[in-house]
Amino acid sequence: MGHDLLTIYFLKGIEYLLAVAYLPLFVLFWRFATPKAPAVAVAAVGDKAPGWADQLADYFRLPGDLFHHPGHAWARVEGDTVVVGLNDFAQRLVGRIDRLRLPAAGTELAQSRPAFSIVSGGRSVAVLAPVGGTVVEVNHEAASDPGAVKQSPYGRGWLLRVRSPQMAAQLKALMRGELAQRWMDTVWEQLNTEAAATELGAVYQDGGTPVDGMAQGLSPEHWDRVARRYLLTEDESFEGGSDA
Amino acid sequence: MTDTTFDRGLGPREWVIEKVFLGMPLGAYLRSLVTPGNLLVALILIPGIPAVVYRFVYGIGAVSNLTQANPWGLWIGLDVMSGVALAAGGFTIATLVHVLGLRDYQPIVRPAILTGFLGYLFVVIGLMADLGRPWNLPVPMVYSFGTGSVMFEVGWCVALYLTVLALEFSPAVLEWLGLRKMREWALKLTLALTVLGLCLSTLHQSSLGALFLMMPHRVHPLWYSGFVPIFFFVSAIAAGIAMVIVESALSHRAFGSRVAPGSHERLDRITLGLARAGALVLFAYFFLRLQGLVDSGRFDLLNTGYGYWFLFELLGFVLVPAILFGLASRQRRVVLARWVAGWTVIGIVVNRLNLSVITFNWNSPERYVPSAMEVLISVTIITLGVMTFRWIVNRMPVLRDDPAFPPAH
Amino acid sequence: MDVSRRTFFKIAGVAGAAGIAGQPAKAEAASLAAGHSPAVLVDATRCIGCRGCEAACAEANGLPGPADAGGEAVFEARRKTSPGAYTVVNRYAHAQAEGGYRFVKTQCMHCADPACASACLAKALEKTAAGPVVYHPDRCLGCRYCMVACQFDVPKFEFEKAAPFVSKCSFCAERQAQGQPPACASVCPTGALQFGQRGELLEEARTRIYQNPGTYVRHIYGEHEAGGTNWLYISDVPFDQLGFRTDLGPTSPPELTRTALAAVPVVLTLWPPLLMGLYTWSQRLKGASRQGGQEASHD
Repeated sequence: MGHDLLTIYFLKGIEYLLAVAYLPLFVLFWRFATPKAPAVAVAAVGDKAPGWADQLADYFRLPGDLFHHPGHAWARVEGDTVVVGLNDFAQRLVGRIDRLRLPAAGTELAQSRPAFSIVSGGRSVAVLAPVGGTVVEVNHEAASDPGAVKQSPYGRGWLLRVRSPQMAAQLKALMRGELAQRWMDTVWEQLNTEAAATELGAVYQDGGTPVDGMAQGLSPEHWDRVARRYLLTEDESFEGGSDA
Repeated sequence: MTDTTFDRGLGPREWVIEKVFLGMPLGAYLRSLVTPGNLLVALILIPGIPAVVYRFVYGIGAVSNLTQANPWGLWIGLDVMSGVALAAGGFTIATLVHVLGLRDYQPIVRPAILTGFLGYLFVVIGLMADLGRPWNLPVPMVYSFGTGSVMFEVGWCVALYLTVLALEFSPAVLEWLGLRKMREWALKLTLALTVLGLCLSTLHQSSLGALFLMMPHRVHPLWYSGFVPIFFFVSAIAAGIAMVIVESALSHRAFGSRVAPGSHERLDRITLGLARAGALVLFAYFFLRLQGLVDSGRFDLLNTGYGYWFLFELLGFVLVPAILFGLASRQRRVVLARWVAGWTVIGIVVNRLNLSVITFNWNSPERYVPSAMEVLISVTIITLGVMTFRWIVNRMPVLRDDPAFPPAH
Repeated sequence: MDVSRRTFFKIAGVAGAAGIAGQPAKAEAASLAAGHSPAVLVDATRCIGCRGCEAACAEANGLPGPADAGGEAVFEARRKTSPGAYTVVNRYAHAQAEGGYRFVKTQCMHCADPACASACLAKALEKTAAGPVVYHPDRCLGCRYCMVACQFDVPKFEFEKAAPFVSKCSFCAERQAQGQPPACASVCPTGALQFGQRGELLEEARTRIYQNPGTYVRHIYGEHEAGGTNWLYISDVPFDQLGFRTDLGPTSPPELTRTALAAVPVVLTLWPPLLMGLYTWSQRLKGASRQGGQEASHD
């Protein structure tokens, strides 16, 4: 196979040269492949506007083009009005929704004051308004068909349309994009910590279908208190609205 | 005081519904299985399973193009050789996390171990299709030891490593079953299992290459080398890294609802880190192969058909991915890293096939091409592997932690 | 750090066993290498193509009779051994040969250091102390590594069966155990097949070559090929024109795997301390960075 002594001198010579050349080349390649600054987390939330299908797939991802209120309501700007709804986390937290009590058109809302409520099992939990203003339109279908809110909280499950004169200023107080995602991470961690203390953990590993009624899992008797804690309406209630 | 889910008052029927049927009653669960993806799976399995049965009833000759002149073919080249190389992500990531302490890669350890475990499991299953007398598998394991054989060492190493992987993955299964005490015990083995796993992986990855050492009369001189065991081991590391990048990208897309929040961004960081590692390994591997070429002294063969193919494999499937991985890491381009990873996976498969099929018996008048049934059976086995992966990920804490079980660190 | 005692013994046990494994049967090889192994000298100038060897082999092994016994037409195609025929005789046209043809008998070469026996993970193919390489069907997994390892393409496989076996010439090991020559050599009418001890047959072959200058090719095929075989061939026609592979080196195939196998216990010995060293070092680094972080935050 050509490994007589004469050929070997030549071949071995090339091998040594190759090995020696490789060493500095490796160092150079290492430097080429190393990114310069410490890697910064890429915020993919705002990069693409997820379609409605993505919301179900991306469980705790918040749509990038929405503004989020810490009370788990969301706001979307449409022209000179703001569409308001309940976010995915909140509807899963509550679980079974019998109906929603929404304010009538013309009602004045104030930012971070109770705007509507969720009714389930005879108890009701209030939700804070993400923006203040006048209610110009109410989604009655969603109010009477909770399925809309559960399946498409950011789409056909929208709840109110509000005309807000101080829209720009009020939106500044809300979260979106990376900040909103980080907030949702904190909320989730909080829920996890609470859940770990109970036996809720096993419920989560039922195969990963998004768990419904997490508040129930945390406290079957006082789920509404749990829900109000997360929705920031512990001492609040929403008295207005009809049961339509 | 036990803590199984039975304690929560779940009877066996509720347990099956919760653990197996994803919380749905049987009817709803079966209906949920009707998806386009599952339709494709059915299209593969409906002819595939009978083909496998046919192979066992009528013999290897009835389904394959294997002959006396070409006794090894696609099943060895793809199911066994490529399968083992691509399952190497298990020991690679486990070593990064548990031995080198790179916690950043913790989120992908379990999927990598699962990919490794299922990879090896289905390699063994694929081997059953290729062996003429698979029921004699206990013979070299129990009483007749051909210790002079590289194949013997491969068999034993794979068997032991499969056990190691099963044990490494067991915490996830135990968490699924809610067996807290056993899970604690299983976690304690992690470091020892990782070290043992790396030893065994080094051995059998390289030994699969060593199988070809006895065949200078069959493998093309450009690919035949005394260093082929080292080539196989190093390229297996690259294959494992690339496969983990591909698998994690596909998993996050397919199982997006099961991943922990914030993990998409974390995965981007992980992917770029792996891309950098892949770049360096492939770069070193390129020079190793060059050394192999020089050692063979057969520069004259470079100007032949096989020579061009050799250069294409070396440049296109090793050097180019090395550079592109480096670029992706440098410029933080996650999408590029994923595509390059896919290309690298293909390149490793090409390399294994080159040695076992494409340049095998290269100067013999009788050459081999796989039959349609062979391809069908291979694809069937791979499909079953992917389906098993999906079944497990849908139920067990692989892509995210179980909140009831604090993370192991 | 949590390496339990049990795990340590597990690792040590595997390493130890692997170290013991892979030691060749040195004593047997020594005596066989000294020339005291049963062998056959095949003289291609004496074979008349009667194929009596094929018939005797089939009868001795309980195989169906050779194809088309007696007719000349059988030589039209080049035949190979098969599950039903452990040996075949092929005809090669050559101008220099008397009568224009040479006949060559093909069968297992019963190598001194056989690839097949080394390849077999279950010792289904075994190089016996007596010399022949025999097949134990009960141990065979049908992996066919022996087939790809053999440089002479000898072992054949029953592809058409659902429970297939490997098949090849056994050198009539049972007959030899009773002091008899193999069936083929015992019926050869012209003395083309001469059974004896390898050392003596090599002498005989060299003698024939010296005493017939210009007749024989100056090469004994099998003397060094693949590390030396026990079926030796001499011929007046160059071997590559008689269907022999002439590109086989003198290194026995198992010799080619020796280093790779020797590396096994080395890896099992060195990797654990290397890895545990890396582990310890990485833990220390993390401890240092944590400390550094704490100190920084105290400022």
